[in-house]
Amino acid sequence: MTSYLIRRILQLLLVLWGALTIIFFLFFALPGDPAELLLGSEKANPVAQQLVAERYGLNDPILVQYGNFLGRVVTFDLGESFKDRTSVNEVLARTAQASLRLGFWAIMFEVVIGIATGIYSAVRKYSFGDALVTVSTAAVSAIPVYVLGLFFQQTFGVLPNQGGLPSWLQLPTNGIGPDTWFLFFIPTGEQWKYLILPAITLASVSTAIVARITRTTMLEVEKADYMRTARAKGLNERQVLVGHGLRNALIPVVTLIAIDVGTVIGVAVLTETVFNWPGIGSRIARAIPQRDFAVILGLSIAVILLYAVANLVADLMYAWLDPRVRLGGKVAER
Amino acid sequence: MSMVPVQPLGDADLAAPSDQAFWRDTWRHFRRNRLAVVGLAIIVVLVVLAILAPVITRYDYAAIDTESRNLPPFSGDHWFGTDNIGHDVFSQVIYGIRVSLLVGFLVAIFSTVLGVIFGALSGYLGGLVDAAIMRVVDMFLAIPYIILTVALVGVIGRGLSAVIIALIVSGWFVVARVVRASFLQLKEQEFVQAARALGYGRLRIMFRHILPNALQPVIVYATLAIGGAILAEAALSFLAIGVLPPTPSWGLLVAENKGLLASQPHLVFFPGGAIFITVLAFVFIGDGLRDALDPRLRS
Repeated sequence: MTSYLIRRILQLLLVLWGALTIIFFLFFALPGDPAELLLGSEKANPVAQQLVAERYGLNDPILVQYGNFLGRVVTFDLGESFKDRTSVNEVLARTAQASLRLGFWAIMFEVVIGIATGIYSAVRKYSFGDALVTVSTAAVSAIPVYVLGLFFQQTFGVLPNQGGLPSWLQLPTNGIGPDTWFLFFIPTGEQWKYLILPAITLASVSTAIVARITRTTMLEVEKADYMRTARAKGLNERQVLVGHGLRNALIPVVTLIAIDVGTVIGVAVLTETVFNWPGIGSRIARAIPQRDFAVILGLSIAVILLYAVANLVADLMYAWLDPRVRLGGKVAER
Repeated sequence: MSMVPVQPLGDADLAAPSDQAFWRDTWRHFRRNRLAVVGLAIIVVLVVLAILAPVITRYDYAAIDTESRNLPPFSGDHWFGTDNIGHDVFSQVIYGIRVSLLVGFLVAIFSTVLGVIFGALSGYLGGLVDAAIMRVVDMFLAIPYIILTVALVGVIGRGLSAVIIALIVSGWFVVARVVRASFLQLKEQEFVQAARALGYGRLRIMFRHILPNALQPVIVYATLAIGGAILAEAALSFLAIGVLPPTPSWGLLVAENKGLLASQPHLVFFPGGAIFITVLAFVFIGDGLRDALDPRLRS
């Protein structure tokens, strides 16, 4: 396991370097003056442009700039917003909390509802309920998350207000609310009312994917020899399904969820924007029309790092759960 | 499906001796899947609506009629009503089909072709070429999709063609991985050795012998990628970095009208519903193709 871990971390560093290089060249080396981009307008005045160019070292040769960029990444200096001069590190510290909390509950929803639905669907395969799950998971993956978010706002924000729905259904649909938490993650007081709709919206697509994959892998392991062995040993159906089937079926699901942690926390751009949730994603979205490239770039670097860690954890969990991976053996194609 | 261009003649016969029968079989299985047929029917209807858009709409999608603002649905000729500056929402949504289908098909086709080329080279040639291509793919995959597209659009600029290019650039590497995996398996098989023994060139073996056998996952992926590209374009436009107004992108329409949710929810839910129905149709078709193309799933 240790040698696997070292190998994976070295690979990860290489890939991270590459990803950051791609991002760097996208922002700083392609045609178009980055000073103009940073200033946020094509008709910026030349003096300001010169100041910006000096400040960001844009007059240096590209390789020097690249070296400085990598240096800043290594020391985790994400730069400074060009709009309001705040450090992007501070912006990240502020927004990451909201994103972590929202992401945590989205993952909880995804795990509980996704896996439960998938198991139900597999156990009752080809029943009406299974067909319903199949259709609705396809439907959920086709709804744009922001349309789903707006639909929730209409249902729980607008309609109870207009008398179309009972008023106890009323939920706030804008912002983070009182921002009161116990042990960082647990909402206290009225907080849950602000949390529940964005969390479900954010979780929607992944929940559908988790349900589908759980169903598929459950049906696959169903045919495995060890399941027949378990039944032949005389175990009851529940023991067979949970102890033998589920444990193996969940390996790919667990990996999927681990990767999802990175996505849900770092790039909940659409959900956070629709619900005005003050997280990393909505901050990136807000920086885009302002063309605040320093913030977009800085937060993107942070998100790429987070994403990389999530992927590493996913791989390690896979290797831990499935010894064939870490021993370098060939894993059967799924 | 008969419309898939597989070479039925010449040395492709060596690779896939019963192409015709295979595709006939696939179509037969596809047809039995009710959801897939529904999906296909929806797409046919949408294509017809897109072509006939000038005939079935009475108003210019970009025209502003200050006399008739904020009309509810089914008021006179304005079937979907009008928005707060007097756009005819029906025209916008119908012309939006053109934008979405154009983005969907172009992005799916070009990212698939690029992915097939790089995946084939990577899988067949192996060695240094493989290592180089796959490391680049890994690097792209390390960037979250939305960050990559946002960065690309930021660099290329706004507008329809910028969005299409950005989505192609951020879409090819997934196909490349899938194709590489198939090529790695297939290149060891007898028919490829036979073709090599006959002295055929590498490119010919790659694209005429191996590729037709590696197409099944690619076709499924490409179908799902159409829906994915439509969603991505709508998302970028929703974030105000996609197509430029007055181009009638559904995502842009949702964004422009979301402030009117309380008073006129239909302004959000007509374009939003259009995205949903279109993407759902491609998901159904993709699922149907996956089942129909995979002999193991046929029952």
